[in-house]
Amino acid sequence: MSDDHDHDHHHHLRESETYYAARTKALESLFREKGLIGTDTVDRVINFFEHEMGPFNGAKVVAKAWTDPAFKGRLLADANKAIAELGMRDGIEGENLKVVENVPGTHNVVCCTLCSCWPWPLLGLPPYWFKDPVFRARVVREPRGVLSDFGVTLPEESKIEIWDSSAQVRYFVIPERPAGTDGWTEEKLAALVSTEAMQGLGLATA
Amino acid sequence: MDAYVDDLTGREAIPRNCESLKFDEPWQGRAFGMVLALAEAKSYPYEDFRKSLISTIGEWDKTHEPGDETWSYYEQWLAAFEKLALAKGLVTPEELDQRTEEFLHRTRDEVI
Repeated sequence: MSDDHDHDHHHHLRESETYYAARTKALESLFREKGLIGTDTVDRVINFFEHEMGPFNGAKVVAKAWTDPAFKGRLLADANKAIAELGMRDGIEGENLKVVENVPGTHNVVCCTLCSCWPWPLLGLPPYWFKDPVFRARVVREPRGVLSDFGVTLPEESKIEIWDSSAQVRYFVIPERPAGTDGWTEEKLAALVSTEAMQGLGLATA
Repeated sequence: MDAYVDDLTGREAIPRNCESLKFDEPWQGRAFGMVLALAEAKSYPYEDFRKSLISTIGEWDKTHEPGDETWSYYEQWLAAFEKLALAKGLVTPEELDQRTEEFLHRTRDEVI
């Protein structure tokens, strides 16, 4: 950007998503042309994050914890070690996972008041609501109000524990196992577990 | 794909300013994927990108208030990536600007 006119022109373009989309396409197009990446390379990377790291991992962990008390014990004691048993990696954004369990009378809610720390290996990339400034501020002040926005009403006497995830510790919730699911397979149970439930903002229901 | 994960263990890979890796627009996912793809292809060490990202975000922080609504994590990501790609000579500013124009004005018939 050598002169002011050019600068203003680019500044204006930079305001728009159209510019970023074109800029990103230009980069990828050039890298493909130069043979630095293949035509499917970027798709492969995005796929990895969508398919290898997602809430299906967390749901599998919950279903296993529901059906295998010994596993649940190991999970609560050392989550990183326990998920490795299931062949899950804890690398990116999941170095220090801590699992808490919802039981009758105590409900756990996870937030990240400072930013958007989130247990990636178990839940994939964080959803919009988690990083919303209003959610982050309000969940600590009035958790019952936030829970009710998410459609969750707890008994009056229930205690609510708030866990603030950080780069040091990322929390994950084992929701209560719904009644009427005795004898269900882990696969069938896993289908009951939502991302919200694994952060305490939803319940698992059969 | 393990290389991506191994390359990304640094704390700086964490979105630092209350944003996160959630793609609101498709270009954000492409920009995210390209950074990792080129690191895997050894066009640069991932560490170089991390440094570029830190300095890009640092620049933004110096010139903006913390609550500035124009903050966008992926704009920082893309800017950091562009700087690195230019510094490493992976693209030239001229060809990048020209191709950007082609996509902007739809004179380039290539599906990305």
